Amino acid sequence: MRPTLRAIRRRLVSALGAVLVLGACAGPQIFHHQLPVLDKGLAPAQAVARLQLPPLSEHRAAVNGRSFEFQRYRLNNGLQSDTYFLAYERGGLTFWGYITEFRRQPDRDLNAALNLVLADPAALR
Amino acid sequence: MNRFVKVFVLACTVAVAGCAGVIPLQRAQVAAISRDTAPPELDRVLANATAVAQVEFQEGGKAYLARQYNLQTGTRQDMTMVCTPTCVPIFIQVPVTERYVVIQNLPARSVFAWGTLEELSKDADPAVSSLMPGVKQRLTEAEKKK
Repeated sequence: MRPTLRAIRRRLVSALGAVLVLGACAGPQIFHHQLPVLDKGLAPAQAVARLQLPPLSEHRAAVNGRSFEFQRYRLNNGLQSDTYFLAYERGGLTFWGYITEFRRQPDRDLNAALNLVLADPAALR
Repeated sequence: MNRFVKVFVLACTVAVAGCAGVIPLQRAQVAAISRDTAPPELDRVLANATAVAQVEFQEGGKAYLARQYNLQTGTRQDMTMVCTPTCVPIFIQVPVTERYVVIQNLPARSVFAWGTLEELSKDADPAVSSLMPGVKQRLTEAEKKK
């Protein structure tokens, strides 16, 4: 049996509502076009001001006597959002990227520090 | 005029308008760049793309030339409705781009650094990353003046 016009309209309204609800659940996000505003050496507050968005969470981890701070964001790439970190050492922004980008960068201590942060799922809720 | 002819002419106009202006840089061109690329070879590689901004500047006692391009990273499909009087959708492919910078030492014009603004800003070489705040500011100002 073919759906009536009224049934189709009801489905469309439901679908639109679901999209709006899911969009709202996604939470605050940064976008790819914002990334060029970041520079090495920025203080955490400066990076937040440039991105115009506070991080979802902040974390600390120490490896081999070096202490790192991390700010966690969600980066929307147009299709979906993924976890994105800003890393600081001695109060200055030292690296930023997706988790895979941290894995590829040459500073092993920084990578190990991020692993410590990622090992605590409660910190990433 | 036949409706289909009108639609065809309009579609061609829209497509040509989309191609006009800035010619984006392609990945194949970028792949040909290395630190050893000679200046004439670099100019040849970049010749088919439009530099949207260009600045010569000095920092730390060294002189540089920075050129900014739009690197094509993909395409998106845009739709326009043409009604003559029946409405017909016209789809066109529009390039998706990202700002891409090539920096050369002056006066030798040897290749110093190349990449997206994001890549260069977090480059592992401090000589490159420390240059970027000034490069971004100067290129933005040059782009506004154009």
